[in-house]
Amino acid sequence: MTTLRYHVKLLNYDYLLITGIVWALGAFLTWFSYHTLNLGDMTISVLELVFPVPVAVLASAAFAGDPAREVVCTAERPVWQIVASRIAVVLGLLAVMAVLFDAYLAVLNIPLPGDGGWLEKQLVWFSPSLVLIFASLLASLWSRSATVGASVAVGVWLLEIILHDLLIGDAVLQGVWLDVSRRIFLFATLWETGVPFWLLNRELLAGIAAVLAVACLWRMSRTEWLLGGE
Amino acid sequence: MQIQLEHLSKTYSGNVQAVRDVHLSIQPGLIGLLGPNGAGKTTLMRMLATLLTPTEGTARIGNYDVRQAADRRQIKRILGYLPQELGLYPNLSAYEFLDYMAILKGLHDGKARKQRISELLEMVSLADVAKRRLRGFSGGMKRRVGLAQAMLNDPQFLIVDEPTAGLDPEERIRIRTMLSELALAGGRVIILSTHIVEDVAQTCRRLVVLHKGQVRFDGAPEELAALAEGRTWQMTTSGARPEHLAIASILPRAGGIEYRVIGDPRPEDHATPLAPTLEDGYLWLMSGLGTKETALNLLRS
Repeated sequence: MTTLRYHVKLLNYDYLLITGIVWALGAFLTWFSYHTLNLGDMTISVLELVFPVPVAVLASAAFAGDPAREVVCTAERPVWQIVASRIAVVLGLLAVMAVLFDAYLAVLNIPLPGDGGWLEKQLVWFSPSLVLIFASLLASLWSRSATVGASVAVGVWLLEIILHDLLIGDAVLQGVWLDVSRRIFLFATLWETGVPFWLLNRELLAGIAAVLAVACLWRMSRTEWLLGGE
Repeated sequence: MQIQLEHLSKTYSGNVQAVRDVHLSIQPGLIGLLGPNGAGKTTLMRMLATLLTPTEGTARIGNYDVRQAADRRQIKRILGYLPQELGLYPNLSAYEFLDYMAILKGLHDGKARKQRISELLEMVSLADVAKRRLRGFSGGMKRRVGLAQAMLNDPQFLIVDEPTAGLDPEERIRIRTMLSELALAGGRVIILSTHIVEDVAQTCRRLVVLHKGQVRFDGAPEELAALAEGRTWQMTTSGARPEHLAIASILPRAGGIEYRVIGDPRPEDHATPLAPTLEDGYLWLMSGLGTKETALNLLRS
């Protein structure tokens, strides 16, 4: 528990504040758009589009943003375990944000988006968040820069939003390519509402995140890759 | 506890040879590693601290080989490391930082950890500011926290990389004294890497000079100083800078400019011979006037 407390304290306080503001803003917009404009999309947008970004940015600093990383690498505890604990803290923060939001939606009597039961509906935010968290972590480990890691996550997020018509429409992609693109599209709940492969999409995203996590583990297997000196 | 380096080399991508064919046998005590910036000191330190893998050769820390993954974990158990640039967590207090590092170093018993941290905070004279956040610490205080961090596991092998760089004289002396006291405790190998000759002169009985990744000198400080014996001169000129000589100091005087120079043979008839210091010996070695072979021949004679 002591270690966990320190991992929480090491999180960038400014980012934590921004994350809190993002949550509050999302909560307000959801209430406003549902009760005033009668729009359900805002709920999906907050959970699927907005929540993954601040946590992906936090994940980018899990190792590359550590000012004492050279000393951390000489500690008896393996680096991957230290980074895994920090990522667990980030995921915990995300879970708290999402569960609080679920409770908030229940209070406002707004239905949860997504298919299946309560647990499956949590995949609305969980799967895209996992992909962005591990993409961000991998990029930060590769570049040894938290800024690069965060930029990659935000870049992927922005591209998927800006190019969503191209990624899930048939203007450019056809056949198998289009099928694949739709099934690994990060924001399928919002822009592919009601498609039968929604759960498969969430599972595939979790699979991609797992591959990225393995790549992170491999990258952490040699200290010189983390600190420079190849 | 003994450290044995054989044919140790490190080549970075782009064929940059940072450390070349280093042979050293290091016994317990404080050993100084001296050299200009870019000499390969930090690379050597990092290889010994298990952060870099040697390209060639071996480094054995006690019974463990830094090239073997299984041995590296054992080395970490007996290693204390203070890197050249230690960043600290600004949100944590000195106590919290040491507590966190102690947990990562495998000190799981809370009571023993607390006791150890208190001892170390006393040792580095930071007990009274233990609960203050690190963001308010001066450069010297941060180095002392770093040194305490390196000592958490009571290491048998301590590496300190440029611990006094950028510190005011009082802090430098304080850090130096701490290192000397740690060495006096016995049984522990301490490698002090620095480019400040004075630090080595005041603390070490043995020093190694690295230049372009190679060992240029290995011996006692007085032996290095002796290299400049008969080659250290004081001369005064009207302003003309002495050529082909290593200049140790320049001091404006009423009758001209006084130079302390290192060179062979005597530069001018009126040049006065001086007793060499460690810095003079180091300059002679580094200036290119004294080659490794010359230095070794002089030492043998």
